[in-house]
Amino acid sequence: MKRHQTADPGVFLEIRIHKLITMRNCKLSKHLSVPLPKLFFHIVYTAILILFSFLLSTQVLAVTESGEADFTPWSGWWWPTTQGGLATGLGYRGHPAPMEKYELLKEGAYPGNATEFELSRYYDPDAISWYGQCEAWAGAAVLEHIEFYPSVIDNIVFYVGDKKGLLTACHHDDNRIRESAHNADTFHWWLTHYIGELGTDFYADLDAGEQIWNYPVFKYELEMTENGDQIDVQCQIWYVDDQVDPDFQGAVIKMKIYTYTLYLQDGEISGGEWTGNSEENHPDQLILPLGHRSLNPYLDYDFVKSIAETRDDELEPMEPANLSPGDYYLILLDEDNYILSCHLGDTLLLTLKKIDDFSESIHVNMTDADGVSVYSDELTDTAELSITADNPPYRLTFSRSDYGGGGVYRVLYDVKKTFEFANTKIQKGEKWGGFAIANTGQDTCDTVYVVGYRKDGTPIETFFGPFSLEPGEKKTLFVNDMEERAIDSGDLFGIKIAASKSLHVLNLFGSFERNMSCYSYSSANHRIVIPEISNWWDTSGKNVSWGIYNPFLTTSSSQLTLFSRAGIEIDTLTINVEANRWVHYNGTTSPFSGNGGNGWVLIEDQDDLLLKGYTEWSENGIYKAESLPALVPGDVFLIPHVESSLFWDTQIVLINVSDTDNEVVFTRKDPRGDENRSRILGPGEKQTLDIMDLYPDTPFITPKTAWISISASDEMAGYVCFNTPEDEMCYPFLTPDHIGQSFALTHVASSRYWWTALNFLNPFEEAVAYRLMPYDATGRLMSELEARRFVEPLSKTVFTLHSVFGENAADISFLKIQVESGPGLTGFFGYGNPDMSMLTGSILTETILP
Amino acid sequence: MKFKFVYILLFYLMCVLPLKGEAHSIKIKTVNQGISVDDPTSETYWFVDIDDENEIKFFASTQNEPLVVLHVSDDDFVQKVQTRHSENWHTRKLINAPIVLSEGHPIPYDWIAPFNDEIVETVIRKRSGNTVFRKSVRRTTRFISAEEAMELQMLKDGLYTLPGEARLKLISIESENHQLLVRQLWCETDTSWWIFEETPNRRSWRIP
Repeated sequence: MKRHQTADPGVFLEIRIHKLITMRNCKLSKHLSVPLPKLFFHIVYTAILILFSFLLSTQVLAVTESGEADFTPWSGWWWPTTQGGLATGLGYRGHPAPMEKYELLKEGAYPGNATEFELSRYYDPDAISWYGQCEAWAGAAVLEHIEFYPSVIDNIVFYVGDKKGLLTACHHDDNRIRESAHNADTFHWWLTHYIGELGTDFYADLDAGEQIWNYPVFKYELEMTENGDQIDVQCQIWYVDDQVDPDFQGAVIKMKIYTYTLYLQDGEISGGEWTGNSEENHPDQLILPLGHRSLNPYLDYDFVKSIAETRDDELEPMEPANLSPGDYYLILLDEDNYILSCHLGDTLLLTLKKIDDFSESIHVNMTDADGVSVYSDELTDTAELSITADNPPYRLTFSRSDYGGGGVYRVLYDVKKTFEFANTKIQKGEKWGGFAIANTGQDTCDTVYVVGYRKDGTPIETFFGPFSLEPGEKKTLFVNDMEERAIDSGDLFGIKIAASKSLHVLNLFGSFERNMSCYSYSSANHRIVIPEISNWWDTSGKNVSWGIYNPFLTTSSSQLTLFSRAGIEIDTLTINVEANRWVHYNGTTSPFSGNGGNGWVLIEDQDDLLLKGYTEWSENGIYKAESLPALVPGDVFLIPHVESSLFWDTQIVLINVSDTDNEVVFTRKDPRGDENRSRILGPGEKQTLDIMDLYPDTPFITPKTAWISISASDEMAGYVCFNTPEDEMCYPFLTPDHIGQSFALTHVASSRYWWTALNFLNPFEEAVAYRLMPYDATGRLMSELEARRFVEPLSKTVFTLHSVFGENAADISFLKIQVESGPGLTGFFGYGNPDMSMLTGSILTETILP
Repeated sequence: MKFKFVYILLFYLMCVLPLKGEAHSIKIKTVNQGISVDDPTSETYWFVDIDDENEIKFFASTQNEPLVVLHVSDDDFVQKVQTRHSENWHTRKLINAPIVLSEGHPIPYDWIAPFNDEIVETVIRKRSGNTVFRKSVRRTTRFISAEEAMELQMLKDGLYTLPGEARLKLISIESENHQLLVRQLWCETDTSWWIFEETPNRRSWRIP
C-alpha cells in the first residue's frame, strides 16, 4: 500500500490543511528546508503571498493525496459472448480452447462438462456485441496476484491467454462488495479506503453509457481544494485495460480524470456530488471481489490456479536436459540447453518450430562433443535438420535476445539407429500387447529407446528409455504401461525400438481367451508380397489390415499391384511412402479402386529400397487372429513341419508372383522316402491347399519327422498355417537364408498354463548338434540347465521346453540356441495354451553376434 | 411513563432473551441482483451462527471459516465488525454502534437495532485514515400483515413458516434523502433472526 498526501506547491497554508484533511500516513512537504542566505527572502516572499492569498480568497485550500494498491492488476481479454472464445477458441487460438485444454489436462479428453457449460452460458453468436466477461476478468485481475508466463504441462501449452481465460472463468460469480457510485463521496471512500488504506484494488464500471465495462482501478491521485464547507476534488485514477491480445503479458494502464465536490459537516464528509463533465461521465458501480466463485460447476479453481502459476516447461528444471526422441513443446524464458545422446553413425532428425507468440527469432546452436558448432541459425519459422553423428554427444542450445514475452517453440526429435524394430500393433486393455527385448549379444547395449510415433511418422514420446541391456539381459514391456499424454491421445500409431546394437525383440499381442499373435522380425526386400487383404464389403468375416514401412530417410515410390485370387490384375497404383513412416490400410481404407476379393498385393519399390511390410487378420475381429511379415518372393522354400489330425490341420497358401504359369513341386521328406507332388499356378494365382489335398496319408505318417521342401519354376511366395478349431499359428515359408548357426528365442512362456515349442529342421545330409542355453530373468546363463541335442540328417525335431527342462522351464526368461556341429539349422517357435485357443509363433531368427 | 419500564422489560423478555440463549444457526438464501443485463441474478446461501459469546458469525455455505463476524454487546450495540477480504481479516472497531450497514457487502450482516425502537435518527460514521465519513440515517418501524409481506414477496411459501398469528415488524433504514438503505422483516414472537432483508443490491430470506 502506498498512500501519500502532499501539499500543492502553490498553496502554503499547510498547518490549516493538516488540521482539516488529516490522513493517517500522510506526509506534508517541507517547504522551509531552504538554504539560510535565502531565508529572509523566503520569509518576505511568503508573507506577501499569504497576504495576497488572504486578500483574494481566504478559503481556497488545496492538497494532493495519492494512493496505490499493493498489486497492479493485469490486463486480460474480455472474451466476448459472440465468440465464446474460452470454449470455442474463436478470437483466440482455435482448438483446443482454454477450457478444452483444462479438460484435456484434468480429464484426459475434451470437450467435457466444463466446456459444454461454458458454451451454453457464455457463447451466443447473436448476443449483443459488448456482452462478455469483462467483469469476471476484472475480478480475476484484482484477486489473482499472478505474474503470467506461458508454460507446458504434460506437453499441453498453456499460453498466457489460456491461463488468464481460465482464471476469468473462475470469477464469474465472485462474492463481492458492490456499491453504486451515484454519490461521489462513496467513490471517494472507495479510493481512499480500499486503495489508500487497505492497499487493495477494486474494479468499477467506468462506462458512461448503457454499456458496462469494468476495469480494475489500482491507483489514484486527488487534488483537493477546500472551499468553506466543501472540498472540490479533481480525481485522477489509473486502471488497466482489457482491449488487449489474450496472450498479452503485463498491464496496459490507462487514466481518467473525474471531478466532484465533497460536503463537510463538522469536519466530516457528509455527502458528495459529481461536478463538471463527471456529472454525466462517472463510474457507475464499484466492486470489490472478496473471493473466487465460478458459475461453472465443473471448474476446479485450485487446479486452474496451479496451472496459472506454472511457468516454463517440464524440461526446464534439468539444465542441460537429456533429450529423448519425442515431440516437445518448450518455453524459452531463458537459454535452454539439451544434450542429444547418441552413438557414432546414428542419424539425428530434428524439426524445430518457433510458435507465433513472440516476434523475434530464436538463435539455435548445435555443438558436438568438442564444442564445435555443427549447426547455427536464426529460427523464424521451421527448420529441419538431419545430422549424422560423427562426434557425439551433441548439445542443442536455444536463446533469444529478449526474453520479455511469449517464447513457445516445438522440437520434434528422432534418432535413427543401427537397430530398429518398428511395429504398428498397439493393443491395450482387454486386447493386450507387450514386447520382450533381449540382448543376445556379448556387449552391453546402451541407449535403447522405445518410442511411440504418429501416423505421419513424427515421434510422440519415448515411453521407455534410454535404458541399457547387459549381455543376456531381457526387458519385458507392456503396452498398457505406455501411457500417452492426453494431448496425444489417439495419435499413437506405431512403436519403434531403437538401439545401436542388434537386439532380439518379440511383440506378442492378443485378446484374452480368444486369440494371440506376434511379430518377431521383418523381411526387407524391394519386392514384397502382402498375402492377405480384404475389403469392407468382404462377407467372409475375415478382417485384414496391412501396411508398408519405409525405414529409410528417403521417400519410397512404391508400385502396388492388386491381384485377385485367380491372378487377375485388378488395380495398379504408385504411392509415396515417406521416409521413416508407415502406410497402413484395412478393408475400409484400401488404396485400390477395385475389389481384390481374397487376393494379394505385390509391392515393388521403384528405386530398389528394401521395404518392409506386414499383414494381420482375424475372423470377425476376434477369433483366429494372426499376423505375418510381408513375404519375400523366391523359388526354394522349406516347411519344417506338417501335421494333420483330428485336432490339427495344415494349410498352405501359395502365390505365384510371376506372370507365367509356375510349377510348384512339393517334396515330403520322410525317413521312409521322399514323396513328390506338384501344382501349377497360373500367373498371379493364389491357391490355398490343405496338406491332405497333397498328401492324404499325412495322418498316418509320423509328424515327428516329416517336413516339406518346395521348389518353383518361377518366383512365388507362401506361408503355412497350423489350425485348430479355435486359433491358428502361421509362418512364412522358410528359405535357405533362414539357415543359421545361432538363434534366440526372445521369450519363454512355460507354466502350468502356457507352453512354448521349438521346431528345428536340418535340411542337410549330416547330423547337426546344437546346445540349448537358457537365461534367467537376471540375464544369467542357467548353465546347469544347458542341454545338448541333435537333429538327424534331413530331419526335424519338435518339442516343448517343458519336455526338455521340466518345471525349470518356468524360470527361463529367454533361450539361445547354438549350433555346435554341422552346417546349420532353421526352424520356428510357437506359444499356446492347453486348449489351443490362443496360438502364435514365428520364425527363429539368427543371433547376430557383434 | 411509569409503564415504560414494564414495556421495556416485556420486550426484553420476548425479544432479547431468546437471542441470548443457546447458540443457534440460521440459514439464509440471498438473491443478488445482476449488475448488467448479461449478468443475471445469482443465488447464494449463508449460514449465521449466533453464539452466547455475543458473536454473530456469517459463513458461506461451502466454507468452514466465517467471512464476517459481528461482535454485539449485551445491550445490543455493535462493538466490532470483522470482515474477510480474500485471505485477510479487516476489523472495524465501533463504540456502541446501534446500526451497522453492510453497504454493498454480499453478506447480509446489517444490524439495524432490531430490539431498540427508541432509535429513530442516528449518524453512522466510518473512517478512512483520519477522514471521517458520516451518514445520517432514519430508522422507522411498522407492523405489516402476513398478506402484505406475501405480496411484497418478503414471505414465500416453503421458506419460513410463521408461528401462529405473530405480528410482523418491518424495520427500515433510509438515508437523509429518503433512499432505502436496508429493511428487515422480523417476527415479533421469533426474535432469533430476521425473516427477510432487502438492500438495493440483494434480497435475502431466512430458510429452514
